[in-house]
Amino acid sequence: MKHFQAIAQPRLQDTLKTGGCGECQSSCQSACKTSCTVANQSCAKKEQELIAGREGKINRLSAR
Amino acid sequence: MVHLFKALGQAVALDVNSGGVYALDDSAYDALQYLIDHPQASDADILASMTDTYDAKLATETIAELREMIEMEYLFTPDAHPNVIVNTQGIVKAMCLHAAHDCNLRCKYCFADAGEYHSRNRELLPPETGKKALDWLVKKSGNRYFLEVDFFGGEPLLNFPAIKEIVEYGRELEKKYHKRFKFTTTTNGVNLNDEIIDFFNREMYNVVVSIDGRPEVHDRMRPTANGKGSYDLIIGHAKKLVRLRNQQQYYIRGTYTRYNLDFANDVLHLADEGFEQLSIEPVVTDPKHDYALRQEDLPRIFDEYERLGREYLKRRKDGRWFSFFHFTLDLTGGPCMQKRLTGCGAGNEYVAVIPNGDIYPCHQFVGRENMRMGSVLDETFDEDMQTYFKNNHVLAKEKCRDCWARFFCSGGCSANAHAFNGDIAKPYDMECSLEKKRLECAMAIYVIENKDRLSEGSPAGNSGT
Repeated sequence: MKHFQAIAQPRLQDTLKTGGCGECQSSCQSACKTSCTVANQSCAKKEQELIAGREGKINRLSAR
Repeated sequence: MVHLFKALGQAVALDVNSGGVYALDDSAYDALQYLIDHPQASDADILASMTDTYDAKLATETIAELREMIEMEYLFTPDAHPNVIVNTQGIVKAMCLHAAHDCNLRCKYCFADAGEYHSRNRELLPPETGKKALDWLVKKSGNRYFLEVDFFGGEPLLNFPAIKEIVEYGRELEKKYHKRFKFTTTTNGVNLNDEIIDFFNREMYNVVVSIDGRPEVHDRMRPTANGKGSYDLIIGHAKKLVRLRNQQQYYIRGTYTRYNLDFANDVLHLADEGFEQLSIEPVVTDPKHDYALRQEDLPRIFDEYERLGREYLKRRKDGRWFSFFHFTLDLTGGPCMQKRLTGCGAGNEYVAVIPNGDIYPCHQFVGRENMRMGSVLDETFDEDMQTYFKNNHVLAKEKCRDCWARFFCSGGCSANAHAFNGDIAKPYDMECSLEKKRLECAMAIYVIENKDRLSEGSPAGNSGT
């Protein structure tokens, strides 16, 4: 396409089925404490290189 | 739903339901704007609207692309979540732990009333209460692995020995229950010293230090208890902390007020001082104060975000890189829809615990009438209130349901909604206006920084996350 350039296509609708592990950071804890911006949080599944064990727990610690 | 806008000179279309972001040229912008304004328009109608500005061949080509975008469900993606259920099952996994209801500063805009939270009672968190708070959190956390505990105040470093003891206890709990605590601290930086910095850099996943920006701006609003400025007390401590943390996992966080509507200068001052992780945020306070932001200030504030955005782009390109919290968006690897619906999780997955062991939905609710949820000492917890907060997701809020920003702000701050409108389901207007402007700038920055790179390949996505 010449006139419309795709920059990001995350297909949020698909994550309704696959997301919701709840391991990501609470947005208010990150920096703000007064305003709510959720979309600048990262997905913990990707960030922490999740390897799901039998109980669905994360087996690998974060880099820190 | 599509949100079409220009920010920082860049035309952007956000496809709200898929989260797709597209850079548009002028003809695409005009064609899409016409279709948004006239949803039933035929191709001939759109073409007719464009002929004064574009030659027929270019306009026809643009309209064909627009139709293809819609056909592919890249634009106007249907709503896929009409009957959403938030499935957190009563889990609590994040806590704001008030180490001290006391402070060594007297910040004029402090929502916590210099640490007292309107209770007229200065107190420190007993270590035993802090440990009970961690026990309670572990119990309530179900199968969640990462647990977050932010030491907050007042000024938490007035009670550093307790923080050390509580963290040490948390590390024991980790082994016993197969959990991982992400401890963080939000401090004014006055008491930071070598011992504390060393401890922080070993134990704290993140550290937030409050500095408002230029010395005169900071000192005006953040005096010490004896009325003197605090900038000089803090700046050296913060620099040392950041240097020893290798510029990782921290934020310098400030507040702007009506006194410094040129707050871009404060962000840039902090960047000039060598800080790379910055967050300067609007004051939220009673409109009776002369430093409170007013509706009439919004055009100037919007211009200021644009000015900051332009300088931000320039500096990140010329080797003076820094990150501004509200211009940071993870458009490809960001949170899943469930997270976007539930937002910060206050009162549901996230609570605040104060020095006497009482539990509140979050730090901002502390001391407000009828908002106490229980106590970690007797392990009472108001599950009805938790359910009430859980069900207050973004699609349940009338004002948010049709807003283009709903999956980015997730319905905003419940505490602000409660403070200004008496109802956690009714978001605070000023917050919405500022959030939308910041989001537009953040998306435009993302587009400008990535469009050249992406023109060579396919766009990033996180399908299946």
